[in-house]
Amino acid sequence: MKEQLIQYLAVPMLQIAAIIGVMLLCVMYLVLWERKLIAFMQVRMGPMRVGYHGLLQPIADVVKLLLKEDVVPKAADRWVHLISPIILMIPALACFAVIPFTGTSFEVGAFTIPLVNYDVPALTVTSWVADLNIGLLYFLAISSLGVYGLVLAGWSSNSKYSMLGSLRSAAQMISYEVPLGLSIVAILMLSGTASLVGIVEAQQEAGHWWLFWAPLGVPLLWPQFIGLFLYFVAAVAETNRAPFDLPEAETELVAGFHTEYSGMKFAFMFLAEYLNMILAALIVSVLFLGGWLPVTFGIPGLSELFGNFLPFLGGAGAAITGFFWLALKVFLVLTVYLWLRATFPRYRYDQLMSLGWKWLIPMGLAHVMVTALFMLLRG
Amino acid sequence: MGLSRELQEGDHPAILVTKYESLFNWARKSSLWPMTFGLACCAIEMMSAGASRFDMDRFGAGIFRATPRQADLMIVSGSVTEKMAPVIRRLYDQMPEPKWVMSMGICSTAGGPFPTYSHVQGVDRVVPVDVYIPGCPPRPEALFYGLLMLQDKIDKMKYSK
Amino acid sequence: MSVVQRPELSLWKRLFLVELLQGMAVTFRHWWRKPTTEQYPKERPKILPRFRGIPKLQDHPDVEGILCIACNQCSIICPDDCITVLGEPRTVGKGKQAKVFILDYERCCLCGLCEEVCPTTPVPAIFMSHEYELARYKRVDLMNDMKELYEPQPTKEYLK
Repeated sequence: MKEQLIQYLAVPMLQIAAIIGVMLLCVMYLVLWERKLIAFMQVRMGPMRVGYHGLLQPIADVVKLLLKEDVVPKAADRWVHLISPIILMIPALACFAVIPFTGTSFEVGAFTIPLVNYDVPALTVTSWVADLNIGLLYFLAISSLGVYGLVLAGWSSNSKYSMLGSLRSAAQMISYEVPLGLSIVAILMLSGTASLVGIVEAQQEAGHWWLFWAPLGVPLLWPQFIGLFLYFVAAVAETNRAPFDLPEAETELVAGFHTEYSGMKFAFMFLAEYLNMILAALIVSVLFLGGWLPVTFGIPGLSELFGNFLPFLGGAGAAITGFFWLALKVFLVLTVYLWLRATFPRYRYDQLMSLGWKWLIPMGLAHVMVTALFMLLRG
Repeated sequence: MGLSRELQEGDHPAILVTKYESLFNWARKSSLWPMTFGLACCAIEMMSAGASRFDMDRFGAGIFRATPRQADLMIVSGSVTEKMAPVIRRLYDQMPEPKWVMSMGICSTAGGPFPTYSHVQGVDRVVPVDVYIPGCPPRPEALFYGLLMLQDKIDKMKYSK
Repeated sequence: MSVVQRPELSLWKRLFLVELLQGMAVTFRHWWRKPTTEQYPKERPKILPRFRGIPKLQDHPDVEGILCIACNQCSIICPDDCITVLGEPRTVGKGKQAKVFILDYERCCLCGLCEEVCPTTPVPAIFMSHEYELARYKRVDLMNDMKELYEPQPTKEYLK
């Protein structure tokens, strides 16, 4: 009983706390990296004076936002105005439950907590909170709940700009959900499972990332590039980032759905947006780029070499190495995200819709067909 | 308690409060988000202060927020007409506390070359101003000098008496 | 008015998003360029000789006493009416000299007309200095009398 209680209650609680803490820190420094990268691309310096090269800038921003006055407009619906940032935030955090951060699990031996003399039995700690066999469906279902937060935020503010922004975001997110789902179907067919851990394990078994899946043995025929492209474009639109940041288009809608939000609540919305970005990058890494597998995976001889940096630590060393590779992939994907923001102007609304419905969805359907065809030919 | 007595006495700054005070002041002065808001030609100079050569983002003041609800700093850049004055007052009222105002250029500081019926002779008749930066327009460096003076002013803010 | 005719993109270019990738290549190249930023409190801008900073008063060793002869021309030409001059008989030699000289920086638009019309020789008594750091907490502090106009602006150095 006690073992089960610790294994199924205490350990997940600690994992959840660790993930939330690390992810919030990641978000803070992602904002700094965004400011720095865009500054570099504009031949500027970015934050320089707060800490060494602006390293303390995110902390200053967060403390300031916490201390700002919380303005609720008189005509706003107070309660909905209060809960909509939370509705935005919870799905973004809940999705992290199924993400496998690294493959190897830790074996923690029995030990006694000092002072209270509490005996903890031997445990197995995994890097994911839950390995659902419908992990990918869970991710799709939960992440699409975030749109309620946007719509409620826009409606409850009782402002024209917020309302227009949230209506736009609703239309946009629903349109791009379809290509997002279609781009994932091919991966599901290849791996034969919807569990995110299972998908990475299937890539390990196949001996290459799904991105480099070469049907019929032709080296430069990689149909999953289309899948990655589709998923990435749809994810950029889904997280309302430039060039698809129409819900908060500054030139037209002041600040879109968060026009009337200030201080802490605004910080929550900001946080949810960046959490969704990190989440999209994680899913890209897991589905297409082999999750915790090393970057050199698939090249004979090199994949074992970079599989474990710290062999003297045994299983923990392999786990840390896997975590490092995943973090590197996520960082690169996020850099491409920010690079897009620094390069492209915003799409017009009708262009956005025609891109989604007239190009991405047919492309996604064709992609599924082509992948199925190749799998059939391969037998 | 000893701490609260120290707080009440006034001339002994309480240690806890001063620690928080310096943290809060540091955070506030290090991330002054200005409002995207320009009235006339000084706004062009303000844009250049935000662009590559001068880069206001170095001070942490680079995120120009379009909505007053998320801004900390209002840079009144350009001549304030009688028609525009109520709008400025409204924008100022919409900003959440704590908020600061910088008057950039002589037009907003004192009316400048327009001592006429249609111009407000100084934006301090509409909103309280923290720092005046004269010049027509001030160089971006002069704007930064004003920003540094404002940071000094924020640094001296007191919460405990 | 001329209508720009953009050439139709070829199928190859549209299929592989060549123009978008070109745009991304431009930003990628800029990423590695050295920033052009001038780090203001540490670095100072290079001031060119004809730069018009805030106006100041000056004397000249060839002329005994105060150089300004209180002719009032600067105050007449000033588009902002920010100069007030009152004269008194010269302490050395004939003519007048300035007794009160008030320059109101909160209105001065740095046009340089006062320097242009100033008749004194060998240098104009009122001149455009190369100082530009001017900001005050109060409007009153921007009003400068004669004594302050001879000295450089009291600026605080932000070196950190």
